[in-house]
Amino acid sequence: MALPEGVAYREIDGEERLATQGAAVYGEPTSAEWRAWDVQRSKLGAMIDAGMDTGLAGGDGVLYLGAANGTTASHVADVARAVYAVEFASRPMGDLVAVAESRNTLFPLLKNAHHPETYAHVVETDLDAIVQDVATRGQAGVACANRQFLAADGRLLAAIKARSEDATADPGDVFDAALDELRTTYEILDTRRLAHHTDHLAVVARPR
Amino acid sequence: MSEGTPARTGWFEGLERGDLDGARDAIETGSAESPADWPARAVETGFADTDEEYYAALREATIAAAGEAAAERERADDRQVIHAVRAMDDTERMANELAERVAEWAVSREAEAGTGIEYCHELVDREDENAEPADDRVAALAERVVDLDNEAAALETFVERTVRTVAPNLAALAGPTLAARLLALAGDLESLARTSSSTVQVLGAEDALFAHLRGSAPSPKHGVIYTHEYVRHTHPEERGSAARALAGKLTIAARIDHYAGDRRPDLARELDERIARIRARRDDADETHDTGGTHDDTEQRSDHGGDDGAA
Repeated sequence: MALPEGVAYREIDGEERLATQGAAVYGEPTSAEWRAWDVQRSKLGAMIDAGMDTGLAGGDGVLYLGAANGTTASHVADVARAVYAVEFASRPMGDLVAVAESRNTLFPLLKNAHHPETYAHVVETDLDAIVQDVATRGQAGVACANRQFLAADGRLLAAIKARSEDATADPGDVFDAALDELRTTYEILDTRRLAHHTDHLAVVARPR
Repeated sequence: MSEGTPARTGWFEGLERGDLDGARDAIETGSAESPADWPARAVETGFADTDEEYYAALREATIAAAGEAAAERERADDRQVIHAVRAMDDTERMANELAERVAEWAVSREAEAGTGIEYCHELVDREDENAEPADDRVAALAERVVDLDNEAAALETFVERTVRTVAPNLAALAGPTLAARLLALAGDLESLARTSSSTVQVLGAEDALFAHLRGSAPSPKHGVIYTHEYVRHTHPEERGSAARALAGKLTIAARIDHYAGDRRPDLARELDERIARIRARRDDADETHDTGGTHDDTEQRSDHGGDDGAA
């Protein structure tokens, strides 16, 4: 499976590591202009590293839901054309803004991903991908509500966190329920449990 | 596509490029029923000459809007209460730690040296002409303890005053310090208002809660609300009920504070009655040992005995 353009394996500190080119953000190791993409910290990084077909080609338009302090969003912004980074918590927003200031393709939005109408006047249509990593209840609902931003052949790249839906239920049951809800709006292309991110299910889907 | 449908207006429409205040306002308060090809629209309407120009303007506007809105939220009074209560805990902890060091050192200089923060006050007030260099250091350390202790008191005053304006009902029911701690655990008043009462009951007992959910421990009866007199001074057998009743009222209080904002003195009265009923159950049980039955018939309101001394 081809890596998105701009993402490559590079030898950094004597190790072959997933990497992108851009200003360093979180103290990650670098080599020449490449900076390591820490797949233990980044679920999208882990998805790419695991060989899942994310559909990202490089130069994509991306809506990133749950950008937090921009660890993963910064790598996406390194290879994308435009990344709309939605984050609702004010605390990590300071970090995210700093990441946005260090590159040209990241647009931070202090918004609630459950309410896309509050940012539909800013985020454009026909995007190539939604990257979703929101740790709140109703994650499948968030994905469905944001479908409107996605092109017909776009991709949803979501990490569903079982704990956020129901800390007591069996994660397998939580994932099944989430996938059922996603199927009302999306066609599921691939799912995987990720190393280093136990309790999460990685999902690749496209609009129905 | 129909032109100028109000539900589909981009953030930039009606704005001059470079008007960051206007842009921030539009991004923060605007909305649209559905998205559109905003870059193309911006070029069409003359807001930008090219896509590149549009994205540059978007970048500048979103950075300003998100940065300022986040900073404003952080400055909000509930966030200030949280910083202050954490600082209060830090200063208290450090004062106690340093006071221990002072006591340990002081006793090597003077056999009948005292202990604790109190003793540090004493040391600071003392005038000693024959002080040796080591005594000076001990006295200086004691001074730091006194400073930290004073700052902890000042922070407590600040927390009390601020939390009463931020969350008057919660502060009235929980007491200002516990109210501040609950805010800190939830993150802010809005999050606390959205938290279920069963979660409020165990806020601060996350380790015990997750041990329970993993199946290796009983469910925790209370988290930080244990510090409330109504939980702590209720008989252990009834503490779970008291914690549940208290958490329920605190949750309602937080919701009123966030969504309505007016004072509801009835809440405190209702809580007092609930707790009195719960404690009365125990008083009944104490009187009729080992029967195990419920006795709703006796109306007993005397102060319960047991492990507490204070009212």
